[in-house]
Amino acid sequence: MLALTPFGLISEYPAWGEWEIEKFQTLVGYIPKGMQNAGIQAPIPDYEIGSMNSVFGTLISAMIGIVASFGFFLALKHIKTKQR
Amino acid sequence: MHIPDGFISPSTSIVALVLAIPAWQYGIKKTKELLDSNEDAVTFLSSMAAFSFLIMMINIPIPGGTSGHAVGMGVLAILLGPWTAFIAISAVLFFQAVLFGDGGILAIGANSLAMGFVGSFGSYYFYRLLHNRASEGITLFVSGYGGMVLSSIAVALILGIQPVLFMEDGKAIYFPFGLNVTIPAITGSHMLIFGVIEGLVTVAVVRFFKKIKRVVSA
Repeated sequence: MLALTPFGLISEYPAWGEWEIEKFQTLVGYIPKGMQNAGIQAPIPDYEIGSMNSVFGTLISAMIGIVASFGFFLALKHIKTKQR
Repeated sequence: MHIPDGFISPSTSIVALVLAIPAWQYGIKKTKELLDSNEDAVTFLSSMAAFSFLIMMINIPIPGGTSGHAVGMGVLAILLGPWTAFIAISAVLFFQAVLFGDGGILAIGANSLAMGFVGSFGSYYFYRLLHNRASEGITLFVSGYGGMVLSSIAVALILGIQPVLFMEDGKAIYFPFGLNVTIPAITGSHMLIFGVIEGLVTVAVVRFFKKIKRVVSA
């Protein structure tokens, strides 16, 4: 699965609705007020890492995701054990 | 689709969180039971969550200039049960939002309910409905397909009601497209394409695990 993730880069188009807010200006003629300052600056926006090649950025993001998944369930398992 | 912050009103996000939090609490309780029941469970659950994460990174372009992705809800719901699948998908959504900005932070309740809860339980109940009545292939396909389509309806509803409820000076404050647009665009694309992909993934992956199980127990 890990090796397949760079195929996600084939599409430059975002999922329907998941547009940059400027796109709304083009689509409806204005940027909805509530969208303007929303959201955080995530550490690895759009799974891309700064100047790094997109494929590497994707693979690294994928690996981070795997680590996070394992970390989550390990943590969950151990929290219960401590309470016993 | 992952709903970003700003696309839905804070009130929508809060209502979703109010519904999601007790669901998370119960789901975590059920997940811990599974984790404690079996030493291998933690590895299996983690791998399943990782699988979901990875498959969500594979965006598939479709005509019309957009893209979408499978979630793995069918696979997870069938192999882990709906509550654990819900927690696993919600955990993945959380990391996607916080680390990668994919989906909002306040919106996590809405995303978790739409993709995690509706998706897992939808898939699971289709599976339960069909599994002694139809062939394995059809059962698995419909579970994945049905879960995805139901999820897409949930997302289309959450987004589509925004302009109905939250307008100011004739302009939408949040997501500006109503149900007349979101249902055909989101549910339509999931019914035609992404649901099919999810269905096929469900068939392939669940069968793969059944084969492995046979190999391992032999």
